[in-house]
Amino acid sequence: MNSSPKKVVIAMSGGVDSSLAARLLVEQGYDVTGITMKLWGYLDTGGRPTHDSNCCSLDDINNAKAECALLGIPHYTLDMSAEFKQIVMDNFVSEYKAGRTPNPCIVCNTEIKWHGLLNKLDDLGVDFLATGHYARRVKHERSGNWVIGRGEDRKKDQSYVLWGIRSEDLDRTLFPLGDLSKQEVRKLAAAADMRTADTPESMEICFVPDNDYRRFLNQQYPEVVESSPKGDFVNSKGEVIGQHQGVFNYTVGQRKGLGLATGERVFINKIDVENNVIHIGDKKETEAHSFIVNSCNWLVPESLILDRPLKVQIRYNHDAKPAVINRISDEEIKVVFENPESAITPGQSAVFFEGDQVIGGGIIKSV
Amino acid sequence: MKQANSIYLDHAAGTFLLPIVQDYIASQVYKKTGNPSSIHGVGRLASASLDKSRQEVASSIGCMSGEIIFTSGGTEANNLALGGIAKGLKKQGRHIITCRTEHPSVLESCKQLESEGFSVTYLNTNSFGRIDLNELRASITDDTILISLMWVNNETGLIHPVKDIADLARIRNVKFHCDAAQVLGHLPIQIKNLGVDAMTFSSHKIGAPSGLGVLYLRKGTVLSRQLHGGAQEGNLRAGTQNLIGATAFAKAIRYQVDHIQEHHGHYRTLMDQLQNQLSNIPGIQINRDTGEYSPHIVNCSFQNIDGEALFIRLDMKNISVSNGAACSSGSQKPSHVLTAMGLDEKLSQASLRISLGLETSEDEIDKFCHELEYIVHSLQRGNP
Repeated sequence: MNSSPKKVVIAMSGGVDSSLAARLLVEQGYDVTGITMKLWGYLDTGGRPTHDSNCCSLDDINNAKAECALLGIPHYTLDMSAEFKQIVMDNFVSEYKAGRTPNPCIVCNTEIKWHGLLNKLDDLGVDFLATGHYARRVKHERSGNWVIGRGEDRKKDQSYVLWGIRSEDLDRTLFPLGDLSKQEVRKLAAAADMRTADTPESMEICFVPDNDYRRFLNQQYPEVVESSPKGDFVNSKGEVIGQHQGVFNYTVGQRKGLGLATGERVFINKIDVENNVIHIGDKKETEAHSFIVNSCNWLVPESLILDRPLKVQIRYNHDAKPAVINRISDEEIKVVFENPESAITPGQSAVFFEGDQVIGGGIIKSV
Repeated sequence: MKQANSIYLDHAAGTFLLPIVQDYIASQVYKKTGNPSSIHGVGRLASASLDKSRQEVASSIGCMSGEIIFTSGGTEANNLALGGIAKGLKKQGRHIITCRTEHPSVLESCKQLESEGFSVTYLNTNSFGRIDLNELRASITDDTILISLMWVNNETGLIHPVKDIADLARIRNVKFHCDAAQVLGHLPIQIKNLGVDAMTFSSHKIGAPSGLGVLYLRKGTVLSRQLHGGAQEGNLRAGTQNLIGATAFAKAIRYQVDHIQEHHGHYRTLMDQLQNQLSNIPGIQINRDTGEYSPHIVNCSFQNIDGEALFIRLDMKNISVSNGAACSSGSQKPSHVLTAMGLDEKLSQASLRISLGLETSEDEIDKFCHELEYIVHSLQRGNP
């Protein structure tokens, strides 16, 4: 860098990934500032207040602060809890209420971590936003646009949860960990004697630290639970085979915890909120060839994607499968898989890959 | 991280050590000092040294040395005054009066006392933070045992009429505790002329190291001890005293009191300059009326800008000011003082407390005001 170094803000959770990312950026010569977003407090969530594998506790904020102090860079805490409640938590609740299965991390990434934070950072004259995600920012050959490449460590790859980043936001994004494996990250952190080197993995939804979203809804949104009455489980022949406890308790593809004694392996294949009925079937009956997606985000011009063979990933732990996508209205596109897929779940994200590159995505609306 | 061209305007949060304090502490590092409670020769030396410091504090602020209790800081002194006097007098009554703009160490002590069966009246203020003495008078009941009101507000610099409050309290036979953490070095002080029953002082506001406090307790005032252990500090505050700290604190108090006239002139000149230059910044609101203020603190707010961004931009320029009370996580919460004065959440977040120190120069004020105006201007444009 010949002129003055580029200014980068690293979003820090207090865990090992973002802490090491901060260190790498400093080593690469950037002018780095650490930011921890305060997104929620235990008053808003309930759960395990002593559990420490999630951000937003004082310990985590102090960890991030301490790592920055060691690196000799400033650290600030931004209170974004009002935005988080309004945009992420309320959406999480209304999605379950509507019989869908939301992915709040994606909403948070898109609207809070990227769009919200970058808006704030404009006031600070910052060039780039960096995070500790396992993903890469790569050039898409046909369009010349920046797109998201899968992380080197395929087991930790997080490109799926980043599809919503607006193209103009991605232009200002850095992923310092994209070429590293988790093992290498821990090794580098330990070698640098970082206090976060052994922080535990965060697996669950951050504001549902006990991983029990039904407990969260019951405690924090009792009015939603009360307005979601019990109803019928119905099989493919239209017969009532049991009682469900309110649609928000269930997810398409779910097998366990249905309380049905049918003698065979049955799955939820559709949640019909309008009639308060949950449809049950065998594995074959949960499969579908195609589905409808809305709320799309494109990282390359749509014309380069539609009607061409791609791969589509329909949940975090799913291998992207061959499909084509085409537009059916201003708001909606249709995804058609080469072979049927099971448990295509409304509310989850469908992410479009060209090779190993995320070129767009959307929310599954219906099957 | 700190650069040579940094501007520090947060002296109400913490000051740098006075040169005489630096010299004193340096002189103590290799000395052999014992425990002032030990009865052997080394202990007696320590005890004599502590007594000398106690005497120095007492003569500086105009009271008797037996009325000085050394504590671990202003927070402990406030806790001791509130909890100690209330519990000491609980047979006479259980009502306490304070104000919404007090320091958290007073407000949280009151909350704790409420949970133990005391009742507390939190006086409201006008939009500048002033209390109404008639309202205070009307709040006193037969059950009232204690009034706790600060002298100089730490966020706005506003001065409460301590002498009037003390007179009012005495007539009604109510004890009066006053948090004076922001007073030394800024206002002249002679405790015996004031008529207060208890008064809090804090070390790191006046050029001594943090971790020392003094509670002045008028002779004969009933106080229930809050720390349990040894019989130190007249059996009112258990725990071995911080001898070097107490001596450093005493020296700083003496220095501040002896130089009050000269320092007052320094602060007055800079504060006039600061207020004058601030008033030229478009969209600024200076949170002051025409009444009395300490000359070292001013609070101002800015319409239509993001307070977090303002604070961070200033910090990036190595300018240290305060945005009111920062919460323990370091994120910005609206100040309870400004909220009590009726500022809305957005405006109180876009507020700065600027506080001057002995090292502050005209040049620094000038640079600060220019930088502030530039940043405020750019944030207002980006945020219509």
